[in-house]
Amino acid sequence: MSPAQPEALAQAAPSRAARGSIDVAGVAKAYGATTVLSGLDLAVEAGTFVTLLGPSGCGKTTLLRLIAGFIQPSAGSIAIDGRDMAGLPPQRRPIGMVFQNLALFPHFSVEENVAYGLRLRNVPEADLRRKVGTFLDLVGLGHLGSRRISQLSGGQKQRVALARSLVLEPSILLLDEPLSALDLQLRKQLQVALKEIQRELGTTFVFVTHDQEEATLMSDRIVVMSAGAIQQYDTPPAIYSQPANLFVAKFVGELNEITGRVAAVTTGSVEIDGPGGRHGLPASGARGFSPTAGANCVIGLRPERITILPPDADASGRIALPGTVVERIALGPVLRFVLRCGEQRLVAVRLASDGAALPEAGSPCRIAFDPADAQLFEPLAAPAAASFGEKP
Amino acid sequence: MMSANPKLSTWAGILLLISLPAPILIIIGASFSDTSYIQFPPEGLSLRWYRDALFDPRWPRAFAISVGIAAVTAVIVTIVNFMAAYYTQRHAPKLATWLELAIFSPLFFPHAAMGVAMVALVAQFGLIGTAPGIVLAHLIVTLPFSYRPIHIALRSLDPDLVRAANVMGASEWRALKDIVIPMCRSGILTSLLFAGIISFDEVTVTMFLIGPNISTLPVQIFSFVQDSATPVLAAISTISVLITFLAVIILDRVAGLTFFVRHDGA
Repeated sequence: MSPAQPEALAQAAPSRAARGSIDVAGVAKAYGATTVLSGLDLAVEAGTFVTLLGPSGCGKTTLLRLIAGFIQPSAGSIAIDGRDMAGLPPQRRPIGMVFQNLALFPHFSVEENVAYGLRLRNVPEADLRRKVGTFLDLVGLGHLGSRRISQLSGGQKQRVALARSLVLEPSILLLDEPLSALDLQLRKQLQVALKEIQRELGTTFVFVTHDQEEATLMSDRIVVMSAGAIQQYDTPPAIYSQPANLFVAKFVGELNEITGRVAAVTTGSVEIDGPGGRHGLPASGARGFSPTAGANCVIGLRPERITILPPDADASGRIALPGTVVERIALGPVLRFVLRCGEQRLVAVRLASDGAALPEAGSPCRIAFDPADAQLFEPLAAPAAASFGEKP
Repeated sequence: MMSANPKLSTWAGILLLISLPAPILIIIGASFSDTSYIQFPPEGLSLRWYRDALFDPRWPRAFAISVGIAAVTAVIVTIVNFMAAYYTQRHAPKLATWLELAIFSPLFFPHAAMGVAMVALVAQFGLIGTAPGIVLAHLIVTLPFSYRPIHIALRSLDPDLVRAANVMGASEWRALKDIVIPMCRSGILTSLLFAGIISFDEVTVTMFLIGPNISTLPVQIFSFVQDSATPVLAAISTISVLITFLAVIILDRVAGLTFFVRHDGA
């Protein structure tokens, strides 16, 4: 990740190396008294598949439209390819865009849709034909060029929208939830296809979605957004294993939350009062805040980090809480357990191949985890909790 | 209630369907009469009134003037409404209510009152008794009828289509030419047809504005009927009906007049 230095970048001549980079510096957007985005900084390296992920209303579509130039920021600057985009309308930016409802031109054929941008650039007819053919082949529609848009299936329309944007060889391609209207099967196919095309062309893709699974599957990097701010910008594995805060941890992947209170803080360790007594966790597990004695906190555990032991088993250095198995569900390669620990409901996932040694539904058990696998969070503030449908 | 007397409603429907075009059928029948007064059913058949209508230079001239005024009015009012509706929808949606109020206001005024007002307005420009004067008045009369189909066509257009064209490099003008206008073709043609027919048909306001050298067909029919109501009027009316009918059929074939039947919420 290169640090954002917008002033320096704006003065530098656009170099080939920078083609496809995006630098967002201090960008804010407000409509009257309503702040939609506040002070965003984001540096996207050229050739990255980056996803803007967040619940609806988090500002991800606003950020996309700012990059596209449909709206202008209230403050801050956006540079593409190292060039400042201030005041430039969409038609003068080196971008392509796939819209949520695709916005294909229904009165044009498939070929004419793909050729439209080239015609605007007065590309000679022979070149134009060749390019349209190449990009229709790229998206697997080489044989459907003369079809009308209304004769295409949903997935084919997606591919036309993609070819139409990519044929202009933009520095970056913006995609505004283009897969959201498709059924799951087709969606999965297109996710893979999109990722392959992006890798082949090396174009920077900025993809907007509220589906964390889709984001994890496709992206090189994810921007997790909430309440008009960037919560975290990192690779999918880093976001999963090192979430910046409780919002990110809950939004990306499944999370068990055990509420507690910080009893004492010592060097390298935090003592927490929670179910089953007082537990010592390594201080390195704290995410995005410094625990202080007396503060409420949340211990976060990913489902695969929980081990289920018989009631009399030795926990061997792990923290073990008494509990019962409420449900045991076989999901192909994994077993999913719903556990109860006092008032808390926890989910654990184990490999189905280890199933023989694991307890059945209704039996008592010990819920064990390695203190190093536990993460420590500050409880969510009310607005963030609301996006999970919770009352704080 | 439905089952009480289905026959009654069936008969009422049939009666309505017959009675709506009945005056037109009577006029068509009367135009073939060989008597010198309007009579239905005609006693004997003759085409003499059609010959009179076509060979008396006053009638083809009035017809040509009417068609010319209707065509010019329709084109201008459609362009004006298109620009107004496009601009407000894209750049000033808050103005739309006021714009519509202004555009629909001609519907609220009695035509006679509007005729008097038009005399004052048209006289300001020294255009009384001229074709431009009549066109000016017709523009105001046809404004609300032309606005509606254009407004609906523009509103049912996905704004992302224009944005998509912009992102692909189209200027606002280019997007208008390549995307917006072709996709609103049906609404534009409906507006042209509506405005044309209403202008062609207008009597009340037009009567205030004609002069010794210029009169439109319906006004001339009106003044003619006061002197002598010969079947030549029936022949002229029949020709007018036929032409309007053909215009509607042709436009339906070309564009599909969905805007006549499509509800606002479409």
